[in-house]
Amino acid sequence: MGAADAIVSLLADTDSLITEFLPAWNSSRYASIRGMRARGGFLLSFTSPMVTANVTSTVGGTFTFMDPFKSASPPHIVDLSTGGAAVKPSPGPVRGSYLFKTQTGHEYSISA
Amino acid sequence: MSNTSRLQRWQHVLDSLPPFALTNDTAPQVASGLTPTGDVVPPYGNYNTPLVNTMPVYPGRAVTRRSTNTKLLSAFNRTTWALGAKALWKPQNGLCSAWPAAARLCDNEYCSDSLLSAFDDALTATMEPNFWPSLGGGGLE
Repeated sequence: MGAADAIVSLLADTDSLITEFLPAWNSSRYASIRGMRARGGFLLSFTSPMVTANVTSTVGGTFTFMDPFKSASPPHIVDLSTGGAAVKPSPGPVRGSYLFKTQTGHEYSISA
Repeated sequence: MSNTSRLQRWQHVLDSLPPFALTNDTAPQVASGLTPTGDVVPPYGNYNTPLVNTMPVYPGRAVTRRSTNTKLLSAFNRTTWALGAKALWKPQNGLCSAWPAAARLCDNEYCSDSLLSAFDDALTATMEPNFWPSLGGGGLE
């Protein structure tokens, strides 16, 4: 259990108010994560190197995250459950973070 | 008792907690030992039961990689690495028990690569052919 927690902690910070993808992972080291549960009932799927991060909302609510691409402009978010409708994120509580409202059962894709 | 009363009561408890104890017994400041029994290695505490020294990081989450108290964060970073190095990341009382706290404080690629390498070495040193770690007794935790 300690081993699993340690590896997961390197891949994502999922138990704080702001979810962080790959907070300490070497981007040249391949990793594939599917269905990692984050605080708020969100299921995360992503890879290293990061291309897109998919977030499935199981109970609705606001998803707050650090921009995994660390780009100057906000990341692109689409609602895959509605055929790819764009979702505009709002700035989050700390620099580099964003948030958007989710609907129960919907899956969202975050990309640069 | 209403939720508001409960919240106020627990907030009072939280506000009344003393600061985490640190020690200056060595050049780098570390978290002080919490259990002065057993195989104590001052000031690194019981390195074969590292959780007693790193509980504020894991499972406590009171100190995280994003903590703004840099003095406290640095002290716990040094503590986790000192305990891990002393036990070669395979403490007898819980093979992996030093891993979560160290990983939760990692905030860069060099740190995670170093930890993964240390974990790999620990498993290589303890793993039997049937993948069960030999720790001189006890089991996985």
